[in-house]
Amino acid sequence: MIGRVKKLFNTVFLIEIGKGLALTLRTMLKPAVTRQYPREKRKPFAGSRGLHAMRRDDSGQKERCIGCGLCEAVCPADAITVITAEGPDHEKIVSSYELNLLRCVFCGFCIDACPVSAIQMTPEFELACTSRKDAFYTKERLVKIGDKYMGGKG
Amino acid sequence: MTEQSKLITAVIDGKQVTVAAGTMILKAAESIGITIPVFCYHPRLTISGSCRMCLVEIEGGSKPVTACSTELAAGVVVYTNTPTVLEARREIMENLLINHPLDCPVCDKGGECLLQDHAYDWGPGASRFTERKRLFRKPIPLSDRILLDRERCILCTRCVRFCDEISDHRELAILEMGGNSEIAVAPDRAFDSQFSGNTVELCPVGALTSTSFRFKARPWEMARLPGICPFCGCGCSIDIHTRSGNIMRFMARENPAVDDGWLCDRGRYGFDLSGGSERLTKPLVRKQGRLVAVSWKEAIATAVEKLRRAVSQYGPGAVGGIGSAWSSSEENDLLQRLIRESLESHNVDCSLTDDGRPAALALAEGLGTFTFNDIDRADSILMIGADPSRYQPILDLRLKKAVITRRTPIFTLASTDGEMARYARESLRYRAGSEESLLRLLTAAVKKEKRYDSFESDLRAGGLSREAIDRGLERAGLGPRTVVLVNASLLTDDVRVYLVKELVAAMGAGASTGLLFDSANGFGARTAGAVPGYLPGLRPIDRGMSGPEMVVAAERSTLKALYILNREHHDSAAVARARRGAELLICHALFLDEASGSGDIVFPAASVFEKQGTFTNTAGLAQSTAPVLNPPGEARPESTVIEEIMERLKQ
Amino acid sequence: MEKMLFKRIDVPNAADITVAEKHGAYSQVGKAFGIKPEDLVNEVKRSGLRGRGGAGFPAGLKWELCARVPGDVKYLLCNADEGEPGTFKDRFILEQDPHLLIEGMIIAGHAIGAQQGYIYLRAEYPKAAGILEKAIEQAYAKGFLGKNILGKGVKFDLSVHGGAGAYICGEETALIESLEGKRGQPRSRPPFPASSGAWRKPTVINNVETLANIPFIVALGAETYAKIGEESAPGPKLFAVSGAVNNPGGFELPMGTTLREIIYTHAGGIKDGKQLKAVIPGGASTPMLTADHLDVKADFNSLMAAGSMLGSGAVIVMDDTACMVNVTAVLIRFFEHESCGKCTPCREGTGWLYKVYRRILSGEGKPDDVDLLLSICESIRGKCFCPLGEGAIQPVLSSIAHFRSDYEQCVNGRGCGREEQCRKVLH
Repeated sequence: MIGRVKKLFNTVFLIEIGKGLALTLRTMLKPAVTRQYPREKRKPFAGSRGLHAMRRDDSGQKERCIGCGLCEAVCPADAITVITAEGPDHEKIVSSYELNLLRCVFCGFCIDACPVSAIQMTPEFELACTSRKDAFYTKERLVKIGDKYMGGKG
Repeated sequence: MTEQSKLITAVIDGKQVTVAAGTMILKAAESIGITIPVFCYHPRLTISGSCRMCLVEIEGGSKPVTACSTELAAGVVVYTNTPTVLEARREIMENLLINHPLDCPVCDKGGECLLQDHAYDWGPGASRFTERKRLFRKPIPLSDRILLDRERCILCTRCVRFCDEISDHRELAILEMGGNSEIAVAPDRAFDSQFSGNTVELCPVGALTSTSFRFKARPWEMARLPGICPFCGCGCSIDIHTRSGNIMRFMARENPAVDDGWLCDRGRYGFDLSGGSERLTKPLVRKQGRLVAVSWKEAIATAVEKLRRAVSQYGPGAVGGIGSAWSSSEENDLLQRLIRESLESHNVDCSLTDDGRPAALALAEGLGTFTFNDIDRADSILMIGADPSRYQPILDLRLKKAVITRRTPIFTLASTDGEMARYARESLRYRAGSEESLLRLLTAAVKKEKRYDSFESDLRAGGLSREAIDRGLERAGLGPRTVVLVNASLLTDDVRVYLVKELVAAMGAGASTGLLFDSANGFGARTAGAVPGYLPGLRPIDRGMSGPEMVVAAERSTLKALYILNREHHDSAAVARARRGAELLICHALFLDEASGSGDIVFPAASVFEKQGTFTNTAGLAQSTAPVLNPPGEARPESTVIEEIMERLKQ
Repeated sequence: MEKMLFKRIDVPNAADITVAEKHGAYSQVGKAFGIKPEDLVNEVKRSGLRGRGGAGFPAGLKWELCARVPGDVKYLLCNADEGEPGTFKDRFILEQDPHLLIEGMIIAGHAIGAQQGYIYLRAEYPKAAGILEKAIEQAYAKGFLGKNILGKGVKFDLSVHGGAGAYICGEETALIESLEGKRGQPRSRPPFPASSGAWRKPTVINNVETLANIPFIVALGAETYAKIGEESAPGPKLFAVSGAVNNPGGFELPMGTTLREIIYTHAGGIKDGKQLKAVIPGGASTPMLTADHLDVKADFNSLMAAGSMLGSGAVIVMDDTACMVNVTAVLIRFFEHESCGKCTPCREGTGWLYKVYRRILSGEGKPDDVDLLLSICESIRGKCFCPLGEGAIQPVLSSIAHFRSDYEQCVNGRGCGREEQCRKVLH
């Protein structure tokens, strides 16, 4: 009985609306939490897992990757394909390294698996692209990203 | 002494084990499911005992002993897991790894490496070695195919022992001593054995690598499917390793009835020939003199129509089909059914250059009964015109095994130089072409008959005499359990077949005969009926033209239509000759070359790795293979095409 | 004691058969041929003669094992690959009195039923090779070797086989491999050479000195011979004394002579009046002893009880200026170099030991290194294919046991004033 009276009171005097407006007014005075992306960009947290990058080797001439295929083996999403071949001096060369970002789940296992710390993750999170092809990151593109974020050395 | 009394009982890790006396501890442990880690030990090589990884403890013994080279004595108590044993393994692993480069990430063996596995299972985890490791120049090419990385080598000598004991080519040796010991090609030798690839497979670490597989793929990335090697008449069991639609390598898969777990280099590295980007992917039909790509529907309709027209216009005798000794029995069977049942012609053979019939007659007459294991049991071996070292390499290894381990006497008669002559008690050369006289003389000698004047002069010209043959027979001691190996390509006419039959009959009931085919399915193509005069199962039927006869007839335009299976395995010149007079040439081909390009209808075929099929090896063992790859583009297995044509011809 | 093995050592030109015969050579051949082979084997067994090569295996038992194996073709090999560092006792017999060895081999061949003998001679004894060849030639000419020796129908052929300079070929199975023309690496045992040796035939391998004892056993009879020297291992023993003594050389003394008597009485005591610091009693692969052990009798059992071995009887003496780290490093360098490379612990372990020693000597030792050395030795001990690895660790273990302070000084970086020695070793 008392409950019904209380409800009627609230309805007649628009108490709920008043409460809501009060919240709105309070929030209007606080600083905004919404960022105006892309005009306004958030600074990534340390250790955030963004786009991959490939470091250069000590000579700086080529990629650091030795083609062991461990990143490919560990990748839970099958996003990485490494193709290796024999170089002119019987050394192992990476003829193709391909990262399919459409499959990647950014778990970072590949980074953990890499025995020479060749593959790294950058804070880069703007990954939108306009064609499927652009979602495939080749060795050359990854090295470029490495140059951009790690000055080539990491 | 009975078998029973030779058994002994002992205890390993608390489990009782009963084995034959003389069994090594390692094998005895294996028989009750206890695995002892090894490096140098290999079941098919002699025992070296040098890696010391298999140390175990015997109760009451003063120090650990090697399980691989210590016989299990009756009543002893062996432990394979005591702290002493585990400590010994840790110490051996640490010692093996002090100079190891630990370059597993770029090592081809990584993932299937005994050193890696044992280090993981038994190693100390960390090394106390802080000095400089031994460094060597690497890799060192041992041959065009095989490279050596000395830093990875643990000197187990498996490769050396293989070359000494199995291939008996003795091309590898250890040079220098101590820490500088080095596996190397023996001085003044070249590592050109046709079995060299086995050393790579035997190598427990990544020291020996093959150029064909170097850095191509990691073991865990590859699918492994069982298969049969299609590159000679032996039909060795293989594991085919593929990665994303490409064959990466062949590995041996032990089959005691054929290969004993070895492979020859022709088989092991032959897959390189099967791929290529030049494959035919669409059916081609000749229109206004040019081959144009068409749909399968159109190509088959064209084939059906043209074949039908040829039969109705010129009669069934003007149509012929050529199977292949390199195609599966199923395909050969379908081809002969297409020709005999659908087109009602008798012109079927499996080669354009040789008459397939005499060898089929030989099989029908009960020759070709031997198995590879007969060689292990043979009292003696007679080889006529055969050169297995070149054409059936795995048979070469089995013959060597018989000579080396059992001193089985071999008597070779050949018209060319062959490696087996070195292993023979007696080896004689005859002049090519005098085989018939040779067989007569041999039979007369076995029967100890005196009459041989009529063909003696023929043999004299070939450098042979009755005396020489008598001596050979005596030294080889031919008798009831003799294996007679005859090169199948010597059987060019029926007379020779009957001569061989008479010879074998003269040897006695226990003798077995092998017809050595150098093609993958020479035996099966014949039992599948792709020869003149024989239906599947070697049931006789009217005899049509043989392959060479068909070529002549086609050249003279008396044969109008020719259907060729497996173009790549037929002589191009013969195809060109047949083309000259034939109105219709249909072929299944992998590649477009001059010969297949001269066809009127060309079907893109599937390679042997892309289809199912049964191959009968030279010892009559039928083995089936399953596809491991998909055919490229629209290429289709021949059998489905022939089946469809037959179906359409019925309508 | 009257000299036996060195009876003709000072006789001029005793390598010539006429001179040697005048002084008693070959006098026992005829007597031995009059004894049945089984009895001859028993005679040697009863004499208690133990092998003088190092292991001290009873010679008669070895002969019996071989003689008992059925078969017409047997071989008698003489191990003249005197490769143990410090050992040069056999060389005296080989160069001065080859006929003593040949006589011993003829008798041994008769006893075990071998009609062919080989002397496996170390490559570093080219002089002995010429002398032996000539002596064998003379023996053939006089009818002591050949198809019908002394007209008694006994056949025995003998030839010299030169080694190629590897220490490991002193190990009997490696010696056989080398003799067969193969790579000198030890064979797996069993089967032992007595049942399957050279060319897989029953084979006896004896040291030069062992075989040189045989004529005297025949001459004296087992009972008289057994009274010489120590009861557990009777007979005369050759000692090769080298190092910091005034009078180094070879000495024939009764088995069981004390180290003190050998060093001070016969070898003239320590040079320059210094003190004895260490003594290796039986060649490089036997554990070192100290001045406290000088009264130990030099025979198989007594030295074993003192923690060392009689080995080949090569007594190497070091005075108190010697640094035991240096001494051991030199010995390890030898073993590392001579490891045949067949089995893992010896091939890798000796190399590792040597690398650690080099580091210590170059002044970069760490306090943990002494324990590391012991631990590496532990990883070799009892795990090798043949005794080489076992022998290689003895100097390390014994030098650390007796002279740990030398090591401590090195690895703790305290100068000892002997750096010059280190530099010599490192060079």
